[in-house]
Amino acid sequence: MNQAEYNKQAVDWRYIKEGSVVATLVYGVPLTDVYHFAAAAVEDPDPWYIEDSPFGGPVVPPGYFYGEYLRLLVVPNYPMGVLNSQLTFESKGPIFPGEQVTITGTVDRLFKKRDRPYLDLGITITKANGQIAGHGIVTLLLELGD
Amino acid sequence: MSVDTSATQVGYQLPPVVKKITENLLCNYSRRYPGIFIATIHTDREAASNWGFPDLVLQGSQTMNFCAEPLFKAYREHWINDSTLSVKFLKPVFADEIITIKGTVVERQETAEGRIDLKIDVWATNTSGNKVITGEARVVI
Repeated sequence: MNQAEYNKQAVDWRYIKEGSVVATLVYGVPLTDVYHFAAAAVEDPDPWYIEDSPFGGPVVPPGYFYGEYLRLLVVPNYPMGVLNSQLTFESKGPIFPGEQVTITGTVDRLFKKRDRPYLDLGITITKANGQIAGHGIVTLLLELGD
Repeated sequence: MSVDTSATQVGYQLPPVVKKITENLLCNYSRRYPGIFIATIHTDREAASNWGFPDLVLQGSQTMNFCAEPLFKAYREHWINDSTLSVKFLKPVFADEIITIKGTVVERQETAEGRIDLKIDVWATNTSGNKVITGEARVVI
């Protein structure tokens, strides 16, 4: 299946409700995945990510979570869209490998610009103690149009 | 760890970061996501071609990660503890391009708590010198 075929079989964006929760993911980031992310996926094997940091051990790069919207969208079979046009991410503290985090995606806004549909997807990262460690918004172009 | 005081002054330029967008780099990032099972414009040339792109397209969130790199190098724990990065994608970046990420401190404010709130313009250019991404970062020190 390719991206266009996936979007075609996905839930029609017109049925997605603003304010609804897209999905919730709960996991601990494996240290080995931090290594792969830092060294191979973004080519920034900073010692704070893979060895040690003043926070007391390696930390998960905040950018690890920038792309999590894709994992969230496919849970309810929502369209992945075509491209993202805008992305914002706020980092509010360290997240350690293995630490449990809850990633919640919400439909913040659906809108049209130049007759093309867009989705603002909010992403909140919450630690097991309830502390919000990060928040992001990704703006997705859902269809190219005619 | 303290931040170099020059990095907190208006006009400070972040050391540029240069990335060669190899197919491996694209796929090492984008195959982490549903691209493992779905041929996306980031991992599959036919999928990219179906939407009129000449080659694999760099994923926006990967480009944003590249923009975060010089900010993290300059502001370290402050980048982790209290920062925001907001970017707009202006042009697609394709496999085999080279992009250069730069940034300049444009605003400095002292907060009531005695901290320093910096606003930093960030952008990336492609091999032709065209801006492909532009944005703004905020970090509190």
